[in-house]
Amino acid sequence: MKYLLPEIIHKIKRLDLKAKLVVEGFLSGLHKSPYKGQAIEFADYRPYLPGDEIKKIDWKIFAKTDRFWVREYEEETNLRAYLLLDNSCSMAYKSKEISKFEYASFLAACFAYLLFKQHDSVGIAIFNKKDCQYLPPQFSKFHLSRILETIEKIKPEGETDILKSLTEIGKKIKKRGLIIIFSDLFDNKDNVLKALKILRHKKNEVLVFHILDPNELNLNYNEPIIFKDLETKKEITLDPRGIKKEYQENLRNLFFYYKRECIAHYIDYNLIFTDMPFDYAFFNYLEKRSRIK
Amino acid sequence: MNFLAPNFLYLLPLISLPLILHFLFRFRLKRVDFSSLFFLADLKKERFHFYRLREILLLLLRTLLIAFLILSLSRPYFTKKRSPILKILPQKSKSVVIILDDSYSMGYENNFEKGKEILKEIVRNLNKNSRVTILLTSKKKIVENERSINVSDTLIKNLKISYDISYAQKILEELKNFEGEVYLITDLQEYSYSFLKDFQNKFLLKIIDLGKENFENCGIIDLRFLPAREEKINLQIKLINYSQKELEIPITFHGDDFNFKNLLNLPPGIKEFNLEIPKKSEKDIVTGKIEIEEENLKGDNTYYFIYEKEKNFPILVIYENEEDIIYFRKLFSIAEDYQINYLPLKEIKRISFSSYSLLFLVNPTKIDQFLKWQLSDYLKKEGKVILILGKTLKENKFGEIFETLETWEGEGFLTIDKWEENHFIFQDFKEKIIKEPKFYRVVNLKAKNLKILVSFNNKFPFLLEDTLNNLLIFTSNFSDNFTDLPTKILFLPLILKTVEYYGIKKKNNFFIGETIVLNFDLPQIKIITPFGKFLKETSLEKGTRVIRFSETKEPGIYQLENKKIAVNTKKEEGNLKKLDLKEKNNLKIIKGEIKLEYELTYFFLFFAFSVFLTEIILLFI
Repeated sequence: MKYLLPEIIHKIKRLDLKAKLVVEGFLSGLHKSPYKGQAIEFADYRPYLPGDEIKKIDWKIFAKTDRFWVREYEEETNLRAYLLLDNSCSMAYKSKEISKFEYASFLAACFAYLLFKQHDSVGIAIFNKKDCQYLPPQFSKFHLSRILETIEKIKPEGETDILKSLTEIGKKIKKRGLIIIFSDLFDNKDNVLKALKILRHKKNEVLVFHILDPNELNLNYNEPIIFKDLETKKEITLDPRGIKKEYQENLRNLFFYYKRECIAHYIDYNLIFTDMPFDYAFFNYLEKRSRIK
Repeated sequence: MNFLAPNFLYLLPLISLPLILHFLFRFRLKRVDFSSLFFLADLKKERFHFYRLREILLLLLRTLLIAFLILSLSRPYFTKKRSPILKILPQKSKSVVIILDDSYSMGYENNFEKGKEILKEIVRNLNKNSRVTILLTSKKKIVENERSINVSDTLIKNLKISYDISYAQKILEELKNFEGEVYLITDLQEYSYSFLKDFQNKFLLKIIDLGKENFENCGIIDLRFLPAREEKINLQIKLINYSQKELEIPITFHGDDFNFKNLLNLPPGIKEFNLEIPKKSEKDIVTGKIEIEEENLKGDNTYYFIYEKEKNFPILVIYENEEDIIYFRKLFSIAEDYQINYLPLKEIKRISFSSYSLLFLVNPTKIDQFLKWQLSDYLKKEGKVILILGKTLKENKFGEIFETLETWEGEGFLTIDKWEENHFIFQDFKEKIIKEPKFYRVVNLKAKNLKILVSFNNKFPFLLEDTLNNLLIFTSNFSDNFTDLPTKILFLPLILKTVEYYGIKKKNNFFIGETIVLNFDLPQIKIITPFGKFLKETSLEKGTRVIRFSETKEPGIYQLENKKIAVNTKKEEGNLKKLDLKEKNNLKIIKGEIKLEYELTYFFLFFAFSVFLTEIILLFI
């Protein structure tokens, strides 16, 4: 369980993940439900009406006012969360100690644990062009262990085809919920957006963690280099100093495009670099989410 | 295009360095794994061509930068096609002798390189059927009676300046009956060419004059070792400033035991500097050199020396009366380091002075013709003589050095009044001691070429020394009749000091071109020179084996078997004063103002700088 470091868990306990979307669930949690009923959190009083269960009558109020008042609760439901982790070879890139895949895996593990702690059911899909491992959401400690074990065992392989992969995963998601995607999104930008839209159209809340290595943006090389594509194994020789400016400009435009299009489709887009501390990236996001509430 | 410093052209292969480095780095290109070439691939096509072009451009610029730098170091220049010299060349075929001055004075301001260019130009533009002989003033024959068309430029280009003086007079005298034209390319130094004023020649002598009216040069004329206290070397260095203004010259002293630098202010003319150098080891021989740095004419800037202390110092005391040398005998009986021989004056015909390092001639009544010859010959061979007078010389054939005017035998006595207290002889003497002795009989000398070191209170000289520091003359004897000296403390130390003064053997110094003759008991000796090692056979002369070595081409320390000698340039050559010579019927003077104004060094430096700037700009694109 290398991802769940004690100090991280300690910090997570002090934060809540508030889902924007209230979804149905069969376990109690902290997520707001549109239905008021039997739950833990008190909502309001109303006069007793025939047919109401007698156990709902607040006897203390009756003792004070001699009238029957019934307590109403805001029902808290469980969130159904799907963690989608890209394990294509491009995710194996690292310029320092940690690769994008390791970083994404860690974030996914943190989310899985957090959701479990909130009594939410968590599922995971680990995908690349050829293959997709899918564990449907469940709420159990055993299930959490399976998820974490899967994350731990999996290695980056294959190419990226986000449209194909997410479409397949979308078919497997039967009930709407929170979809958290961890990927470098190195694919055709229109296909990426198309895939995100497909997930969003099924009324899911979609969070995208666009994970990049800082060197993928900075291109810090001071000499001509032979670049080898981790996915296709193709090679090209070029002088990064010459293309750096234009390359960075293109990437920034891409980030801006994703951000703009995601906002337009109520998708939460987060660009994260692997030099950001794990906890910083994670909690930064959680704080942002808590503000959304 | 020609080059003033062509040796730098050997660096030209360095221009391939950027190319080699380029390919080296190309083969060693770093291979890195990258997440995806998705965004790089499109850019590559657009920008890669530009960067490839930039790379080639940079490569070209770097190559050019190195090439320009090397070219500017080798000081390129180009020559004008028609120079004034061509006007004086004969149209028809003729026999022509061209003499190029290669004495080291031609090293001033590239005069020799200019001379070579003029020589080339003359040869190139002579009638094709002309016969040409090329000579150097160091007596070297380059080309003899050759068709001018067959003389190659490379031959002239490879000529090197000699360290010798100019032997132009000898060469021209040998050519006296030559029927043709003679060209002399020279700096017309007054020292070497003053003979031209009265030179009678049948041939037409055309002088191509490269000399300059104004010049700056100084040189080391001489170096002497003065007697010094133990573990010290006392140097007297004589420098000359040939120019008209005071020069500040940095001068370095390198030796086996020492290495130091001094800055000397040298006024016009000759100046002597005394320097005391600590001697670290107990060596009897110290070799070294003195060098003037950063000076125009290099030929006379270095002076090599060998300091050798005489171990055995044989002395001959010649006397007429036994009583005159009583105190010498007493003195030398206690000074056991010296080998003393005593000889009555009447017996001198049977011995040779050459085996002695020092002669005392005590109280002679006459210096006859034979004694004069003997003494003159001995002094010429750097022997040392101490002459102690007192009696009027009945016969003095040494008249060119001194005359005896009278003998002072007045009533009372004389005492020493003035004395050169800084002279080595008087070191460690106090004024009181010097002035105490009384002299009863003194010979009044009229000194010629002698300097007075000590004089009496009536102005008569007491001690005189010749300018070459080989002869000391006392005008009074050290005996009872002449002085009360024997009873005083002065006599012993003063005589011992004079012996010590001469106890330093003069350096083993020779000049370029001089033939060195030394005795060796070997059939063959090994000679180490600054320009190589070789073996040379000795010859038998008058029953002894001698080596005659005349290949002293370069200054430096030469070693002949175990004997070290210093060879230096003749200093007169450093005087660049120009001869004021007028044209005559058979003598024409042409100004050798040629070409070197077109030196391209700065152009190439400018190109190099421009290339460097372009490269910087290109790197930032």
